[in-house]
Parts: sequence; structure tokens; C-alpha cells
Amino acid sequence: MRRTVAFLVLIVAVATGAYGLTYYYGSSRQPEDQWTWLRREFDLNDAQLARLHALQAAYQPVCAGHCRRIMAAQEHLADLAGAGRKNTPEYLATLGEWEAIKRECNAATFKHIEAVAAVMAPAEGRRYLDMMVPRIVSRDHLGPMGMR
Amino acid sequence: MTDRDPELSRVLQGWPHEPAPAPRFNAEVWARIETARAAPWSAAAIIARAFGIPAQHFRWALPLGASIALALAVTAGVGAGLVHINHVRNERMAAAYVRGIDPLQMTTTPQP
Repeated sequence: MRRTVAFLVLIVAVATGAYGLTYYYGSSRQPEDQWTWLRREFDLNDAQLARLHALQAAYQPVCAGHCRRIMAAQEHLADLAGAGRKNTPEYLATLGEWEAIKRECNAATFKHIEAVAAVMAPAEGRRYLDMMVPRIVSRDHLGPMGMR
Repeated sequence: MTDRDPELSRVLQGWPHEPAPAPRFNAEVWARIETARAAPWSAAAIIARAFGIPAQHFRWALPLGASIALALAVTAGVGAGLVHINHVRNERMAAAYVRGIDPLQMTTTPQP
């Protein structure tokens, strides 16, 4: 009985050790770049990858434009809040503007990821959307300064 | 050399030759017997038989079932580690990817 228990403990220790070593060496590996990961994870071929590069290049200026507008609105809101003018029509108007930019930005982001998913094989595209959509939706309700 | 030399025969008959016993001969024989008796189907016994490796090297060998259980434990541990590291890596990569395409995440700092 004692030998059986000791052996079971040994088995658990060996399995845990193997798991720990694998995890340790796997974690210490150099992380992949975004494109290598996308290619491997969603099984993309050269043509699909080239189309994703083109989509990214087209989306980048749109994304940068949204970034600039969001940051400008946020800075304006922060200035007004800092000056104690949080309950003024100007603040509420800027907040409304910020909400509008956020909706526009979300729509553009979703349009982009749908376009990316359409380039992939159908099953991989669905998996890509399942992975990305919750990450975008979960940040959707953040306030202008990251406040919920 | 066909002639019999009585003198040589006498010397040879009286020559006291006793070969020295092989070192650890008894211990090796008993180790082999014990290994075969305790675990005739141990991985070590099979390997020892196949390759003629002295049994003394397998005195602490495990039975075949135990060897298989250990090998499965290593395989399960490595497999679980690979699955976990792949999941963690995918989570990190997906989060970084979304941060790169979502202006809201680039410009807002979520509270903890």
C-alpha cells in the first residue's frame, strides 16, 4: 500500500516536473511577431498574408485618424474637467462628440476585422472573429479616460 | 612432438593451476536472478536480454507497468505544458494584435 502511494506521488511529481519544465522553456522563447503568429495560428498561405498586409496598410491611416480625434476629445474633456467645468454645455457637447467618435471608431474596427476574417478560410475566419470580437467589445464601454 | 616426454608429462600433471574467480561473478548472477524473479517483464529485463547488458546495471529497475506509467506521466506533463503555453501565447498575441488595430484601446487606459 505504502509503495503504491509512493509510486503515485512519484508519478504526480514527474508529470508536474515535466509540465513545469515545458512551460518554463516555452515561456522563455522569443515571442513571435504579429504576422508570424497570424500566419501560424490561422493557417494562412502567402496570398492570404499578402491580402492581410494590404488590408492593414489601408486601415492604418483610418485607425491613426480615429486615434488623433479620440485623443483630442479626451484632452479637451480633461482640460474642462480640470478647470471645474464638468457640468457645462461645452463639456457635455465634447462628451457627445467623444461618444460619436467612439461609435465611428468601433464600426471601422469591426469592419476591418470582418474584412480580415473574410480573407481567411471560413472556419479560421470564424475562429478569428470569436477570438477578436470579445476583446473589442469588452473595451467598448470604457469612458473617455478609461473610466467605466 | 609426437614422442611422449615423460618429464614434461610429470611437470604438467603436477602443475597447480587454479583460475582466479571472476570479480563479482556471484553478485552478478544473483542480481540477474533476482531481477528476473521480481520482474520478468520489466523493461530493464527485456533490454538486458536483448542487448546482453549485465543485470547489475538494472538492480533498481522498475516493472514494465511502472515504466509505462512514468513515460505516460512525462508525456502528459509535456503535453499539458505545451497546451498551456500555446494558450497563454495566443492570449498575449491576440491582445497585442487587438491593441494594434483598435484606436480605443490605444488611447484609453483601462482601470485595474
